[in-house]
Amino acid sequence: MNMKKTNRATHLLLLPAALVFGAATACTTPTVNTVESATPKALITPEQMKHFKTDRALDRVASPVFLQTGKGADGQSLKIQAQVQNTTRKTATFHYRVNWFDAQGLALSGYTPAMHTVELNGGEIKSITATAPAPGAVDFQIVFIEPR
Amino acid sequence: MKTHPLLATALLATLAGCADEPARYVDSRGTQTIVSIDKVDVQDFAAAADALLQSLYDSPAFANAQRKPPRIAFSEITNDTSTQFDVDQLLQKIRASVTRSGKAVISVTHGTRTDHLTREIKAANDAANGAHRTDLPDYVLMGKVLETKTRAGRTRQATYSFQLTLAQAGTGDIVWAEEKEITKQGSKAAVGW
Repeated sequence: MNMKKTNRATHLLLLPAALVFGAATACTTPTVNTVESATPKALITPEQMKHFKTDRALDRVASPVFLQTGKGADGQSLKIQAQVQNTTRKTATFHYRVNWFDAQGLALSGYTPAMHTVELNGGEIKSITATAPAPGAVDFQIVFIEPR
Repeated sequence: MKTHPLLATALLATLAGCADEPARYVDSRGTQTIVSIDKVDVQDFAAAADALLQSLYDSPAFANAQRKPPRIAFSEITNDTSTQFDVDQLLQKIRASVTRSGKAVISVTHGTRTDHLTREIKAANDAANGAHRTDLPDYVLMGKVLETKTRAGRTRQATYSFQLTLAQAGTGDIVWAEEKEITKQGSKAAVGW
């Protein structure tokens, strides 16, 4: 009789622990460690970033860490690359689009940018690259959008 | 039986919440469009075209062309998915962007069936006997849209692969090929994404 009571008490104590363990296991998302050359061979032209933040939560999952520009294969078209980091420990998704502007600062005529989706594991850095759809593009803006 | 006013209000609010949503305009390139799992949506065509064009513009295919800007003929784009759609939803975006970019000229004077087109160009080139035929395309663009579907319990997943290939008209050598995959997952369609 006493043995049965002890078992029941043990089970009752173990149940919350099992639930917590189960929930923790189910919620675990992969995080990322990386390794790369300490002396990269690429000649990088970093761009200074002007960053407008209206959503801090979004900035934590899509935090721009490096921005650089170059030229496309035709030697004329502007090519950009932004490295974006998910600074949280959870896998996150965000959308982005790239707006292009001509030498007068006007949005590139006839070009409607499409939205793209990126998934980043916790701590992961990914590169977003884009090549201007016309040689007339001289400036750009990357817009990050939080998923619904 | 008397109905409590608060209960009646709550019931009305619930019914109003469940009522049909009136139609409204949304931005075709925005995030308020409907996401389906079993079909390609308008935003998928836009994202695929944008990604494929980015790759094409960044490839040396156009830069290495003998004639600048090169002439492109559009060949067959096959829809190998289980749903019916007009491939022009993808192609027109590519035509419009390529034309505006000035990176190439699109030629529509030739047929679209790949075998006919290749044969026609080869015959014309042979007839020209080495002379440069300015009316012939330099490149032929062809492609395919494929789907892969799977499910785990109630969760369904569909991957749509948009494949495009650019081949040299005379030789058939592939100078650029790209694939854009779009994967959608869920148990039912949703408004917004």
